[in-house]
Amino acid sequence: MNINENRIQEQNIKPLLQIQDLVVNVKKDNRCFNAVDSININIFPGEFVALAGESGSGKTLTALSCMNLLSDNVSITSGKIFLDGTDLTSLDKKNKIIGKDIAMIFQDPSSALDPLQKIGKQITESALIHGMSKAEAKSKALELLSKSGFTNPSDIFNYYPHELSGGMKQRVMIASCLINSPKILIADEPTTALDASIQDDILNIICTLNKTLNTSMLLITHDLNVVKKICSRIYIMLDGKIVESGNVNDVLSSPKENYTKALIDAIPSFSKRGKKLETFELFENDWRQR
Amino acid sequence: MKKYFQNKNFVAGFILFSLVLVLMLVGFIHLPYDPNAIDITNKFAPCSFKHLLGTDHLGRDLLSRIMVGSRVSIFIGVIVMLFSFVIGTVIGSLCGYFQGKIDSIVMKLNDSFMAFPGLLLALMLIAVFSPSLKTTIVALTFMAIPRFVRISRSGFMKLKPSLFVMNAKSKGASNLRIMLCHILPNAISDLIVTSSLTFSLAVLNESGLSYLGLGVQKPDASFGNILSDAQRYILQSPPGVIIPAVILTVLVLGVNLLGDGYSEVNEH
Amino acid sequence: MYYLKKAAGCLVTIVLVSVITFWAFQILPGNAARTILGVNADEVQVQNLEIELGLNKNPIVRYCDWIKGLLKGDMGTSYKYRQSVNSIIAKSLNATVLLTLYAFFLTALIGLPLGIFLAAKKKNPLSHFLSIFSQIWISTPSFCTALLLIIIFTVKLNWLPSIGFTPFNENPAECIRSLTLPSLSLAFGYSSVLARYLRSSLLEEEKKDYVRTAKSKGLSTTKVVFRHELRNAFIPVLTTTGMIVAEILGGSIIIENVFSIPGIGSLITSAINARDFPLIQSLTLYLSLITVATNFIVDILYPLLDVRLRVSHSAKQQGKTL
Repeated sequence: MNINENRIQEQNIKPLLQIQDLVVNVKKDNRCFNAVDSININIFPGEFVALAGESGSGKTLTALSCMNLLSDNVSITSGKIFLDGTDLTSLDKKNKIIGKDIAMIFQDPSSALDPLQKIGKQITESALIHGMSKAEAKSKALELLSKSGFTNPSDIFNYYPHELSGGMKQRVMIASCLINSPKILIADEPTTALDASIQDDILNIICTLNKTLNTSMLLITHDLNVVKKICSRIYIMLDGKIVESGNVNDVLSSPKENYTKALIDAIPSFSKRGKKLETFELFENDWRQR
Repeated sequence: MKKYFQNKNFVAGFILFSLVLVLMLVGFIHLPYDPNAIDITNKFAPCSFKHLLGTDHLGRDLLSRIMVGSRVSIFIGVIVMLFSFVIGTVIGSLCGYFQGKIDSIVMKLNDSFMAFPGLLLALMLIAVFSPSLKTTIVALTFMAIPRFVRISRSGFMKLKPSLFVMNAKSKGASNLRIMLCHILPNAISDLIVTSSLTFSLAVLNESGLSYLGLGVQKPDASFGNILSDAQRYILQSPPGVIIPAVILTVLVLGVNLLGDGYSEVNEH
Repeated sequence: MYYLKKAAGCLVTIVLVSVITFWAFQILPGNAARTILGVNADEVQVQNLEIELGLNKNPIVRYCDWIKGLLKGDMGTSYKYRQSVNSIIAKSLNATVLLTLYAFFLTALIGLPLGIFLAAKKKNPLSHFLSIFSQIWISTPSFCTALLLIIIFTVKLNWLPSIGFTPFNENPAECIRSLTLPSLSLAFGYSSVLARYLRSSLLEEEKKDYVRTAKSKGLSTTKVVFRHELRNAFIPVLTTTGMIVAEILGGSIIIENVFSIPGIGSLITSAINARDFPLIQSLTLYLSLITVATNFIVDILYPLLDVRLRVSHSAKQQGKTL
């Protein structure tokens, strides 16, 4: 238990998003396995929490479980996910939670937009299905577009996706997710597919807007530099399990698990040039003993 | 080979096609009656042990006629498929591999051949050269070639810039060698699917032509002939129409399913 | 630029089609005059007829004459009917055009919902059954379908006529009745083809990222299909639709014979039997031109559906046009 969580417990603030003992099972070619193996995550209002780990650790599946977006061969076999008291694992098909109280932005914006519809229509779509009026939705969309860094929001409103660059599309996706002022935003590696030169910009936009709207964020990433900059707490995931969690500063400065140490050491920096990654061997031994 | 037989479509198609194939082969060994033997006293006989499928309006045994008809259909299907495959693939592969001006000209010509709808191209040739079995085969082959040209051209165009081709070139392989031994094996699955399609279309088209009286000429039996005769007596003997229609459909369905099954297996 | 390119290509195809047609009917058959007069004709008679029909000129000159005539609207004189081809065709065009349109309407009416249903309800047993059912119709020759429909609807039930055609201006209801079985015979097979293409296109679209985005906004599956997937899925299907119209036109040749409909198809078969080359030549050209025109219309419709082919806003600002 870290200091933050203790304080929060004292003040009796309930977590906004509560993932309890979640188990997600994947079926492939007559085999099945638990890609997510009984994890627990808590996110409190206004927090930015990171979920870090290597590819294939189950981070994205965790996110998709919260959004009811699992494919046919993937299912939640046990555990619950609570968003402000509502159980996301047993939602009605006609629920009004997904897209309104919880939103998700994905990794690759290049094909995330319908190529045949105008940008404006796609941004306001989620607002309209959750009851906003056309006029209000449009003005909110324009406002968000301008806050996302566009100098000509009303022009962009009428463009088609193929007329925008990758970075522009991701900014459109940000506006689209936040138009309903959701309580929590899940960001699944939102900058990995973008040019290194604009990654910082996009992250800044996401953070600023979230803070303005008081939206919590679950940031899925494998880039610990980013985590250091913007998140307060971190969960480290490996092979479907949470191996370490806590305050970002605590975990990254004095990691308890060997895997965490290896992850931190793997962050490239000038001083490590030419040196061997020793912590990796420690982790490897751990891993072989599983 | 085993993986093909695990595919439902392939197995179903194989069974259906084999049924008709067996019918044809039995016909080679033993035709119950002379398919052209007329016996007016026995016309429209119902199915019996003597005439398993009954007789037509001239007393001819329907089963024997159908056996001969299936011979014609399968024979024409195979010949048209083989010839158009070879000719079309040669033209298309050369176009796709070498490209350039000749490619544009040939493709424009190809497109204009495809602009003749339905049986029109075949009908044109038949109009000029009088209907007969030979004319039918030539006409249907002409109709099928453009398809192979297109598919093989696009396949060769897609595969030419591949690394394995560059690898072969760097080792000094001649163009012919590259096309035949390297690119063709990779492009073959699309061509095989097109072949099955060509076979079934050839069977369908031949039956259409014979139905119009412009394909296999009477009194020789062909599914189209049998059906156009049976149509005139549709009131007296509906089975005379239904039975050949069903068998013809089974043949085409079988080949289509084989093609579907094959492409499903090769998709993965 | 897009339209210009397509129009130019279209023109080239038309020219080639006319050359092929001319070559097939004027060059290949050899001496037409001899064919008309018969084997035992007098040499002098043959030569006279040759001069009368203009067959003694150079082939290229003959081709140009023919084209000049076409552009003026003169398609020659039929050997058999001794009338201008134009007047013969005009009478038959009515029936064929109506048949093609009606058949295409039925094809779309059956095929589109079927395709959507097969894609949306993959696991439903009804879906499996319909899938097999449609596969059977693709494999049945159109005239077999026609005969089976005749057995059911004319022989057994006596609901619909199987012979003849009533022109539209005489009796609209009777006209539609007389064209129903013929159109259905064509529509059964082609609607199955359309449904399969649409289904596979929809299944391809389902895997794409924008579908996941739409679902993450809270859209129900039905809304995602109709608002997003369908339009995208239809783009590759548009080409198929053009092809289907052409095939229906070609298929009408046989179907008109099955149902004794006095359209272009019937005309072609009787012309072939009579070896009436001017008539066949003109009919062939006519049908091919309609096919080329249909494909051209599909090409024009493409930018309407696929916005990526339209001029982008930034290009518009620079003054570029399509």
